[in-house]
Amino acid sequence: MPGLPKIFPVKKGLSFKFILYIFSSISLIFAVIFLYNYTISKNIVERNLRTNAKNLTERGVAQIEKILLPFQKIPDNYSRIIGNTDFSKESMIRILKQELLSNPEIYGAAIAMEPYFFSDSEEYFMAYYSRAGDSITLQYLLDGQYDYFTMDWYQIPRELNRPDWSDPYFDEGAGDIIMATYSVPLYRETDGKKQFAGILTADISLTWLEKFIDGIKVLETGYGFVITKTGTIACHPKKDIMLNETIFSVAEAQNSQQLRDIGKNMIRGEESFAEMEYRNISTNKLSWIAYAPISLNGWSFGIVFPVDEFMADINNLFTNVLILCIGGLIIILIIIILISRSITKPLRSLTQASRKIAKGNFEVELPEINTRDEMEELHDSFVYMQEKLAEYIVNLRETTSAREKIESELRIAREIQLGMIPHLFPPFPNLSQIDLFAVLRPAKEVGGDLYDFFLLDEDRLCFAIGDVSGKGVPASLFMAVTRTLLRSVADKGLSTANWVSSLNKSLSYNNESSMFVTFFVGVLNIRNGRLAYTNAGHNPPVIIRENGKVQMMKLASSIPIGIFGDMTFTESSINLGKGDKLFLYTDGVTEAENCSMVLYSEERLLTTLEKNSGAIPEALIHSVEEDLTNHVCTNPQSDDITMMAIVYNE
Amino acid sequence: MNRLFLLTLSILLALLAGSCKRKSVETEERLIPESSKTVLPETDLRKVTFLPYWVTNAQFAGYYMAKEMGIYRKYGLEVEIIPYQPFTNSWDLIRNGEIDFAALWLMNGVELKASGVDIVNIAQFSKRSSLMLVTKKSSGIEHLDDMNHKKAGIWEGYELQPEALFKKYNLEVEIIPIGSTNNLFLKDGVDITNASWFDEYHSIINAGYDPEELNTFFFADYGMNFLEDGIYCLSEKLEQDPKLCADFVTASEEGWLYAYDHPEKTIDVVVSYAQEQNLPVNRVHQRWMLDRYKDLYSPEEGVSTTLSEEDYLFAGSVLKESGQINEIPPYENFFQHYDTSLVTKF
Repeated sequence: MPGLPKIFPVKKGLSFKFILYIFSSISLIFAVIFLYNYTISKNIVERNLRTNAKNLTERGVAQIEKILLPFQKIPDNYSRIIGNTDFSKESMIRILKQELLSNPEIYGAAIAMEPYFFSDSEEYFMAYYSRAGDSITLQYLLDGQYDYFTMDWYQIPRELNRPDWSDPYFDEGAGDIIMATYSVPLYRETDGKKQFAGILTADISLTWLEKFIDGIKVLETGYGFVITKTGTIACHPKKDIMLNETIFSVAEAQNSQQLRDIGKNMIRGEESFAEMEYRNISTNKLSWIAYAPISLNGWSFGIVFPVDEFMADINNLFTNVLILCIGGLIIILIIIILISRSITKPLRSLTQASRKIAKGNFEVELPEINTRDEMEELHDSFVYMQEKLAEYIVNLRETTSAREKIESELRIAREIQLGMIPHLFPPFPNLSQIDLFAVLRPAKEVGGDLYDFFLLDEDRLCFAIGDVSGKGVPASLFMAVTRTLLRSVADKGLSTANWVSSLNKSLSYNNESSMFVTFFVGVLNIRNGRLAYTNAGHNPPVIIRENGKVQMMKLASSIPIGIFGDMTFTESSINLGKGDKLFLYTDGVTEAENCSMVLYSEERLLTTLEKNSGAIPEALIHSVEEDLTNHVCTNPQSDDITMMAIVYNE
Repeated sequence: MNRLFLLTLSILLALLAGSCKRKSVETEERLIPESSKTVLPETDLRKVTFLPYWVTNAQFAGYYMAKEMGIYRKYGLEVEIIPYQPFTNSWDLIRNGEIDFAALWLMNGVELKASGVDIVNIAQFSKRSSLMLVTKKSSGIEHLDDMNHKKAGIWEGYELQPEALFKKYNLEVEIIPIGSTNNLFLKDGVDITNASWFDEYHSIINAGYDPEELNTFFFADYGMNFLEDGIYCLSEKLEQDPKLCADFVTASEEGWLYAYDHPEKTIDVVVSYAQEQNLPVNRVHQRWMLDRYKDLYSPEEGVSTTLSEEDYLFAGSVLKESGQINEIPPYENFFQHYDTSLVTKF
């Protein structure tokens, strides 16, 4: 069930991921589409606005110039007429009068001459015709009360040598209307040289300009305005700033560097079409300003476009689109939640069911799923898994009980096997001549090693050690047979070789499983230390002399018993001195492997025995066991281990 | 729903704004009774006329505020500020005794005195000349020397100071007398124009020239500190009624201090005076003017109204050298500081 833990977070995670990934990607797509649309539409509106602004502004300028130009031509023409006269007072006044009579758009006209133009006694000469209703009146200004020489209308065209428009002003005499004066310098030719003689002026009402400006309505709050060459606001829907303010003083009041920059561009005769944003003077809202110069008089005409209003339609549209988008997203969100629920609901119930199954309840009822999709397949797999698990568990129970039975039998077998070999130490407390200790450690429950010892009579100790080929139950049975046979063949009269031959005969008989056993049997005469022994293919025992000298017994080669029934074995003998020890072992000792597959080896065994040569049998075996444990480390025991140590004390 | 909410909100805001406005009016009104606590009965007020030397502007703000805020009344004065008329000879009004007090520039005062009108300067407010020459950087005039052989538009009747400056630095400059505007300069008819720091200089800036595009030459920086505003009256007036003079000057001083401390309110008053006389006026310009007056008079250093003999003689010598006057009237005849001990105490 490795998949089970993954199912738990599905409950939260899957719906959450569903909603997060799908919803956020849809929202992103919506947002991108919305922004793209909005930007493009805004740009289109802005572009149209600029085109519109350019057309409106240029048309405005054209209209203003269309009125200004013919007006300018009147004084221009009359100045030329005067220039061709004799510059007598009479002719000039006559021409002035004619100018006013034939041009009703002119409110007043003046001729002002240079100091002492007519005579050395007349410093000032200025004649001024003005309209009062239907009649016209003539006024002379002949003394210094009105010092016209320093007046802008006189001085500027004089100094600049060209006609000039004055800044507009309110004319109280003409009914407090806005006027401007156009001044043309007069030149008299004397001796082929043109000399400045005076100024001819014409006053024109700018009411038409005021009306024209007032008539400009751009949506709700947009408007037009005119500023002069010096930035003075000549026409503006806000009458209180007209002539009182310059575009720069308004900029200063609004603390707007932008408006100041616009003003500077305007007085320099530059043009721009709604490329700059600034705060509308009247509404204080963001606006665009378009402007173009009135080249005739150096003034500038501007139109203020309320951005908000131009953008209002598109903003409304996009507000609605935004609402629709949000509504759509909410619907999508609901759908996603529903879908994710319909997916995760069976998953959740499957999860719960699988938890119950995990607890061992295989009868739990799985939720009904008829979705005909992967979910149903998953459900079917669950059903299959449930059935198979139930089956498996039944099998497992049976197998386990069978195994337990075998294990318990093996445990008993082990007890029986270990019970078969002598295991009480010291075995002969009454015999001071010998001491003996032995261990048998099967690798499995039961093993194929054996040892045995017993007294044949008062003087003779019989002992044996063997190792059955193979391990486990068959080896243990073979071992049991070998041990039982040994006891039965150990006759006081016969030699050990005879015993081994009998054993061999008996074991070889009907030995269909071809098992064999290496075997060493010895009889020690405890009176004289003589040891008679017969070996059948077993590892040579080690003799540890009283003086600490350790050596393997030199044995003639022989083969284990149980293979050939008619083999004969020969007995050998050796004398043990006082304090000599005999150490017997099976190959489980010398062939014990450590993790690096290194064997314990006979050399290491000999070394260990030499180190502990003085120890009593039990201590000797324990020290070998300890060294063996150190050697194998954690490597599991692979073969039965049997050791026996005997000391002869005489 | 939304509209209803907005409507309610705007009504609430309007009510709130209304109550705020009323409050601010109340606080301002509270200022007046304090100074008019000791106001004398109407009949006891001494009637006084005052003539400024120019049209209604923030350059006379102190006098307007002293009148408007009841400061003159506090000192027992009923002051009428005579509107300046460009084409009337105001000197005649002084000469004939038609007005009691006049504000004049020092040079004009000296000239008037030397011409035989027995006036005295009873308080000299101005301590540093506001006069300057202005050039456009584009004209290449960076130093005074660069003005040689250039054209300067100088106010008619005020040529003396620039002439003295040009003479002192050996400059040949063609002087074109101009009227009251800088349009000739703005339209490139002249390279140099004269200006007051508090007035025309700002007009030039507000005709589209940035301060960085202009070069300025203050007369005072070239050792020509022509002092300006002082209060004058006929010497017989000072003899007859020294207390009136003391009260008028002291109240005017108080008016100035009030104006410097309440610039917005002051501008309101000046603008309303100008509008009454149909004069073109703009707040920004008036504010600039008031601020520059404050700079020039530096009231934080304490108002001193004494005219030093040195400043007097400098002005006199320039007038004499130019032939405008024959003799410099004696200093002690010209400047007779009002008697501070006579000022009405509260």
